[in-house]
Amino acid sequence: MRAKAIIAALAILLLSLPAGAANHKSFKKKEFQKQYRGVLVDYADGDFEGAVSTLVEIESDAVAEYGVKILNRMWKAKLGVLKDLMLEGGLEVLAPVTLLHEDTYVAYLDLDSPPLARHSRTMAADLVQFYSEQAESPEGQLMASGLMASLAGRFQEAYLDSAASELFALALEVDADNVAALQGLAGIYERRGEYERTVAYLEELVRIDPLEREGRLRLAVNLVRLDRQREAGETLRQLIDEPGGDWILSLAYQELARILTENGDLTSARSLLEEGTRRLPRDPSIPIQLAYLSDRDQSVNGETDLLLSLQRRVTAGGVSPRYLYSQIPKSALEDLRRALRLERDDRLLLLAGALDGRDRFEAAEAGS
Amino acid sequence: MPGAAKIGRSLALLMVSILLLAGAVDLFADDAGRMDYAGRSLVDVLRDFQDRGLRILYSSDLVRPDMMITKTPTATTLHGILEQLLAPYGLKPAIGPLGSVLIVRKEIKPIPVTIVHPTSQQAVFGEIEIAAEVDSETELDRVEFYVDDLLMATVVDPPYRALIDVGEDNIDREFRAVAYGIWGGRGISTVETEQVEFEDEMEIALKQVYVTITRSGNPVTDLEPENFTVVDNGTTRDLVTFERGDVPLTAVLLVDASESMKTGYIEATTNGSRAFISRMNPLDRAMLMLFCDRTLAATPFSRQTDELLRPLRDTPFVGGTALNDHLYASLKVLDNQQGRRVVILLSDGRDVLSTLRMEDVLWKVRRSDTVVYWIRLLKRGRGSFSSAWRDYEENSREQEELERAVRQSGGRIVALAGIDEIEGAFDDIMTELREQYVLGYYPANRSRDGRWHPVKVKVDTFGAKVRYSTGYIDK
Repeated sequence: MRAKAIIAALAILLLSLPAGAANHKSFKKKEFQKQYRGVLVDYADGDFEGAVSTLVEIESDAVAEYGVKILNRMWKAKLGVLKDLMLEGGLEVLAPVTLLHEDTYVAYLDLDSPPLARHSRTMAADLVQFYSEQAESPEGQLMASGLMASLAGRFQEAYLDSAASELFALALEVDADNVAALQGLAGIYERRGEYERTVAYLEELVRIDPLEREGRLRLAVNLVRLDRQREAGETLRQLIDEPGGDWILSLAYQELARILTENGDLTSARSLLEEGTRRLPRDPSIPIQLAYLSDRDQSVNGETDLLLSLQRRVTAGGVSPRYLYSQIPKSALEDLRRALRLERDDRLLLLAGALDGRDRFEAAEAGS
Repeated sequence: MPGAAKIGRSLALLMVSILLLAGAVDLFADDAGRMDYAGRSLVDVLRDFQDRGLRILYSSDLVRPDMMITKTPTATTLHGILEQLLAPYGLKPAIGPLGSVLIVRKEIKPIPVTIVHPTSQQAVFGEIEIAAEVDSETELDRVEFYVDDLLMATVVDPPYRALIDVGEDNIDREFRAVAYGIWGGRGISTVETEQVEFEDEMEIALKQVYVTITRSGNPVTDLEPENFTVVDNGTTRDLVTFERGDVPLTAVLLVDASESMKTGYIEATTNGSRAFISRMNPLDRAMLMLFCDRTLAATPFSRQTDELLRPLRDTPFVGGTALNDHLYASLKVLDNQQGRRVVILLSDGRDVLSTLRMEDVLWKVRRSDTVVYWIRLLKRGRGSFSSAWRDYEENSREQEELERAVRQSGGRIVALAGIDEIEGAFDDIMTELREQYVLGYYPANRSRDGRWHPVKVKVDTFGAKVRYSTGYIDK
């Protein structure tokens, strides 16, 4: 019953494909499908990079030979292979295959190959949504949500914010506690300047994971934008009071000092930053903010100090905390992807079995 | 008899004239036609001349044994040779009785020398340039510079200027330049600078306003103090100092070195910076600050081209842009620097990662006598953008505030169509700085109330465009 439902769903998917490539009569579908199965065999054997590399090679060759119009036929050909594999191994074989196509998408981005990147992106998105629609067990739902969030993260990294936010939202529909999706959506809405939505997602994130430092920092920064300084100040104070010396701590000092400055409490702001300088002696931003506050406060902090201070930090090198904050938040995504790789590895045997079974079936068919 | 005596004297004069003016040099030359005088005493040489038959009369009071000859004369007549030998000691040859040569005191004409910097109007502290001008026809041996009778520098070749450190004491000082001619003679010029007078309630802070005047795009450089009127906070002020663009400047070359600034940019920036540095005067100084989201390099203040340009060679361009923070830092490090303070910012103006907002920088600009020039790269377009730190609207506002800060400082935006225009932009800015008028006055009604004091500079010349810092915060 279940297999039939899957086939029906894939059939719908296949029927929805645009009827293109009719003129590409010379496209050797069987041969391409054989090559694609070879890629899946490599992947099932654990040669993940080799599989991606081979898939990129055969698809690029096909496009070079037949032009970009061949992409639709390639898509159908691959879905044909996957349909057979699902008949053999069930829905779960799709999970590792989705990750293969996600990795292939990243490879095409690195190669700066837009048509194939689009093709690969669409393939991965279709597969993950199909998987999500068909997955019924709680484990399957979690897997689906994770796969969608991981792929959405790839879209976000490629600045496809609309596609990313749609997929993140779908991931949240399936699993409301998907931290990576919450983090991703908060990042997208923050960049758009939609701070109320940003705060909503971050509050949810912090509720699920109250110890997540980056989430709390981002929440505090965005609360200030909604004029909720008191809550922001409390969160920043907590971050400062925790042990550690990371970029989050630096920004907690900077942002809390900013709140104090805007409240007119220059003295507290200054002593806070002085404490920050002691805890983070290599931080590149705090000395400048401190010099500014000293200026405002008519302090005697000298100009030479600032120059020397900047010069000392030049030799320290590194990346500024504000730069790190401006990057797409990835901590939850990285955790998620690690978990997905483990889940994938658990399903590789299923994929290998399906491939093996299909080969035997075809060999038997050929023999008869 | 008086008539015979007169005739006799005329004949003697004629003989001497023939002897002195027409030559007889060969009597006093070696086989190669030259005679080496340097290192010998004057007495010795004169005796030599006497031994060769020339009647030279002199008093031992005038020609002493310790008078040494330091240079071999270049003259080709005997008269000329004697003049050059005697001149350093204030002596000269004259016609003596019966065809003799009489050595007499020379009436010394002073060498026209004038100290042009510092001027008596200035209060002088620290390292300064002392400069003298000398009548160009006078062949000089050297110019010595003294401060309060202490020899500070000796310059042998023009231009006659030197960097000296007079210390930080607030005292009267006497500057003296003594020019020595190669063949004797000297000239003296003296300038006395006065200490700054303090009174209990007296406001001593001299306010300087830098004024750039153009007509049809060309600089107007021939104006005098009477052509200017300065109105500070509604009150017309007298000009206390009036100088042109040679007032020493201290500049920060603030270069955006973020990751997006790579192709051809480093080379163009290096050439532009070099063009600027090469035109700095002896008292000018600059520092180079490279920034991205952090400080990538910050040289000391210097005028050494290699030292200033080294970071452009050695520093990788990486990261995002923290423009506000580094523009503020530039203004801050200039706070205690002397001379005209200038920041030349080279950037597309897209701050993404600063801790400070542009309004914070504007706060500083209004309290700083620093002129900000912005060489604006447009290669990434002028539109706004959003980032994790600011949305579109806020980023637009930041860019507008930066433009405002530049205008209020009295500087300007030099918008470039491409990086090939960078070098010319640096050069143009230096030209503009050299052509600026620097007006000094004591502000009116200072109350240190932290309020904005508008400044207006009126120039009574037709069709001129006048640019200057439009005010300051009374702090």
